[in-house]
Amino acid sequence: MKDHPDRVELSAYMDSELPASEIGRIGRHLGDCGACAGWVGLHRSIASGLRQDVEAPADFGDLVMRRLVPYGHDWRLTIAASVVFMLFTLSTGAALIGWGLLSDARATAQLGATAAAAIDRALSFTRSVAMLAEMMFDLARVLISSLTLVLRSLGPVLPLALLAAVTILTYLLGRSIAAYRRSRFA
Amino acid sequence: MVTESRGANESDQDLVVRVLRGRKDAFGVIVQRYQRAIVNFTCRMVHDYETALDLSQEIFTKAYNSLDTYKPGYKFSTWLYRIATNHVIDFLRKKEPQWISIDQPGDEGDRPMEIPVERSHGIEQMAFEEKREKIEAAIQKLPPSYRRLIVLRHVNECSYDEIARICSLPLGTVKNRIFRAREMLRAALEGYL
Repeated sequence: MKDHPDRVELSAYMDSELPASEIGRIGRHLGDCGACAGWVGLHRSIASGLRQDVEAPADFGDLVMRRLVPYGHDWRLTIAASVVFMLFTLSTGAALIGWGLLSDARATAQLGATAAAAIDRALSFTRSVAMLAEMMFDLARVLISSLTLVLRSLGPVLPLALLAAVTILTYLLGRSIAAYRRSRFA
Repeated sequence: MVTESRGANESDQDLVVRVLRGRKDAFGVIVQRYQRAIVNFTCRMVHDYETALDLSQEIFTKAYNSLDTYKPGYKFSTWLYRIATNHVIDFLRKKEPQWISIDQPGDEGDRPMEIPVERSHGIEQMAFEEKREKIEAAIQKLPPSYRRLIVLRHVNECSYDEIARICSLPLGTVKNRIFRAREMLRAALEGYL
């Protein structure tokens, strides 16, 4: 018998991993060639001894699940924490009243003054942040106006070049993110 | 009960989404679905039932803890088998450091393999249990990187394409290595044929 198929191909034939035309050709060859048919038969016999016949114990799933911690937001934990916080606040308030701290006019006034000072500091900080933000907006307006003037004097070439550059950069960034995500999966 | 029957009909991807939303019980359905495949894979790889169970539990725990890295575009079983093969190979590497890496230069082409043309078909006459024991022993003689390919192919019935993805190997390499692993098995079982 001539023209025996390559043994690597025979191995792939056994696993139905060849194109249909090759499967047909090798199948016809096996009908005529005892040597190749014997090789395939031997390996099929070996493969038949390798099946899924091991069973996991009945409590396997429970054993696995016991090791796991839930993902995401656990509402039970949140509710428990809220209840603890509420009880703590109520008991602290009750204790303060019980010890006469909140009923003492001078101590209450002192507490009020401290709270007012804290609020005043917070408002002063907010005012500073608002002023800073206003300055930043003004600066941005100046920059945009200057840029508009420059662009008007240069005509449509520069905006188009800028648009192309932004498009290319966005594409490259997208590719980098995709490559990073693929490498994480790998 | 309602949750169980609902989970049984759900796709792997839907179950993963539920797990990531905090429904740990949905992972129980995944475990139920794949425990047989994973236990059989590890058992064939390490040839010890108790060790295989420990490794399988670790594999499912590892899969659960990295579930947020799973991409729904991929087949879940491929992703899980990939974790399983890496975990078992790591275990075997620590346990059997004498194995030589199959990626060493000269390994692939320098060693000519004799392939006899004529071979009798006597293995079929062996009693089933005896035959299985011999095959198991022959499987254990394979280097782990070859063993995983044969186990994935015959025990887990993965296609070459899936095996290539699981083991991060080119398709042609998978095809060649499965053939070579089969030849090693044949050589190891030669006395019984």
